[in-house]
Amino acid sequence: MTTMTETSPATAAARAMLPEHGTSLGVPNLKLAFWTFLGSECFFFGTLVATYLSYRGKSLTGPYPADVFNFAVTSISSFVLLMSSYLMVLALAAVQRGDRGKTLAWLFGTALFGLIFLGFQAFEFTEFYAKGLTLQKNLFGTTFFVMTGFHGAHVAVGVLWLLSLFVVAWVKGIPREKALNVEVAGLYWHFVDIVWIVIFTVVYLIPDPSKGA
Amino acid sequence: MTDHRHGSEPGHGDSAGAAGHAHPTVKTYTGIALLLFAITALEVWFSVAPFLQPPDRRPLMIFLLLAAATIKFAIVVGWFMHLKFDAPVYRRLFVAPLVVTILAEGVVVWLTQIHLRA
Repeated sequence: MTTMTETSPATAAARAMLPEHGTSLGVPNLKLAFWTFLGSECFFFGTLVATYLSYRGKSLTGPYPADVFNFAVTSISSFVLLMSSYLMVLALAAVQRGDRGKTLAWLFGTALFGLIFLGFQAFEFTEFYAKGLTLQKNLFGTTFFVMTGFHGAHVAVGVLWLLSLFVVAWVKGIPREKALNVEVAGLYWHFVDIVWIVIFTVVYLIPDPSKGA
Repeated sequence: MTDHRHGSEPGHGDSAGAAGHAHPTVKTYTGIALLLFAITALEVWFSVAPFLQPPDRRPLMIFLLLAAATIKFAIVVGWFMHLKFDAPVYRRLFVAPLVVTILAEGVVVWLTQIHLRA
C-alpha cells in the first residue's frame, strides 16, 4: 500500500518528464533569477571599469601600465578564457544529449582552462608586485588590482562550481532533465568571459596616456 | 560533431530554450569559437600594428578595438549564452541593466576625463 509520502517509480518517472513547474512567465524561476543576478553583476563590474577609466592616466608616480604589462602573457590567458567558454557550451550540449563521458571531459576541461587563467593572473600579479606596483602604490595600482582581482575571484568561484558539477557528474551522473543546472553554471561562466573581453580591451589593448616605458 | 536539437523534448526544463527554440549545433559552436579566436587575434594585431601607432591614428585604433570587443561580447551573449534563442524576458533582464551601465559609465568617464579637464 502506498502512503501519502511515498512516490511510486512510475510517478517519479512521470514527474521527471514534466516540464519545469508552471510559472506566470512560462520560464523556470532558477534561470529567471540568474539572469536578474547577471544584470546586477553588470552594474557591479560597470562600476569597477568606470572607476578604472576615470583614474586612467592620473597616477602621479610609477609604475605605469607600459612599465608592467606583459602583452604576450595576457593575450594567451585571454585566449584560454575564451576557449573555456567554448568547452562550456560543449559540456552543456553533452548533458543535453545524455553523453556522460563527454560531459565529464568538457566540464573538467572548462575548469582546467579556468585554473590556467587563474595561474596566468597569479603570475601577472606577482610580476607586477616585483616591479613595484602594489594596491597602495598609485591610482593605477589601486583601480587595476581591485577590478582584475574581483574578476579573478569570480573566475575562482566559477572553477569551484564547475568542479562540483564534475564531481556530481562523476559520482551519480547528471540526467538530461537536470541540464538546467549545468546551463546556469554555463551562464555564469560565459558572463565571467564577457567581463574579461571588456577588461582586456579597455585595460590592456587601448593605450594608456600615462608616462612609462 | 553531433547536432543536438532538444527544443521539443520533454523534461528539459528550460535548458533548450523557453519556448522550445533549438540551440545551435556543436558544429555551429565550433565555428563561433574559431571566429572569436580570429577576432581576438585581430584585436591584438590592431594594438601593435605600426600604421595605427601615430598619435593622430589613435582614435581609429580605439574605435577598431572597441568595435571588435563589442562584436565578441555580442557573439558570446547571443550564441554561447543563448540569449538570441531564449525567451525575450531574459534579454530584457540583461540588456536593460547593461544599457544603463554603459550610459552611466560613459557619463562618468566623460565628466572625469573630458569635461573636468577642459
